[in-house]
Amino acid sequence: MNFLCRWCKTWLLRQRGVRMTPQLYRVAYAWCHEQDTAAHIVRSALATAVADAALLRAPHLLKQQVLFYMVRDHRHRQSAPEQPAAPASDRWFPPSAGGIAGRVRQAMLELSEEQCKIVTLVDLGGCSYREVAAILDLPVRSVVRSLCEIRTRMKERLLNRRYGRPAQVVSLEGLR
Amino acid sequence: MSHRQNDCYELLVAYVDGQLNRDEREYVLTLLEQEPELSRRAWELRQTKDMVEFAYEQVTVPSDLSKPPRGPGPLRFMTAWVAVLVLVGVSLLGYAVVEKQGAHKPHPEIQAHNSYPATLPARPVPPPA
Repeated sequence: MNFLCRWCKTWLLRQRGVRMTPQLYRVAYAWCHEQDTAAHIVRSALATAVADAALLRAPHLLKQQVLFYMVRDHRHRQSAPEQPAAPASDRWFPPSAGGIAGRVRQAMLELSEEQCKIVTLVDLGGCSYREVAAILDLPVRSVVRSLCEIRTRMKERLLNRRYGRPAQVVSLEGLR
Repeated sequence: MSHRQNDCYELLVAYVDGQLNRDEREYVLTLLEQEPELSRRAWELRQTKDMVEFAYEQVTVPSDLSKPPRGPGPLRFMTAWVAVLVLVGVSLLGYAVVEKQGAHKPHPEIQAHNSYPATLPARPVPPPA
């Protein structure tokens, strides 16, 4: 009976995990900007979280736990020796992309790794400050301060026109 | 930025992120009504947040990610084992119910008809001549 109960809970966790997949994938994608890597991070984090026996007693912590495993996996990848470059699969945000998406990507690339994780967990993952602090193993106060700094930088980068590329003066003398 | 301004900005960021409770929200809303500069900054923060969300909404999820994840190790075979157990359990339960209700026994009349009489009827004795 215990076995059946455990199996049912695991099955329910899996279904909940599948429903969260799009949100989790966007968070992972914002970290690495590679489809394959993001998909792999999400898949392995979900599988690890579902197999976590402790989660069966607190299924409401599924998202937090999956995000925790995603952060751990991504950090592990960052610290691993350099892998051969994957084929360019970044079709949503090509480096030359203009518009809002391109500008946001550029702004995200300018953030530090931890800042990028904080802002994506809040904005894309829908996490509270406490959850972000628990996932990243930081004090809540640090999360709040970092977010203030991130928002200021993003605002300047995205909204303030004077931070855009300055106009270039081209000499036309040689053309004639 | 002074200490008070810093606190105010943190409160504003938390307000935009929807992290405040009812009382704190009321306080911020009052401040926003009183100070147009603060209101402008809140609007800019909201706009920035919306831009980040908008930018990543376009990212489509690979179709193979929508399949349920398979657990490592023994969990991988759990589904098959549970299916077999459920099948066996239902079969045993059905058998027990049928056995209890006595459905396997024939109708009493049929049983009486088919059963061999326990004692043969006595042959009538012919009257003495």
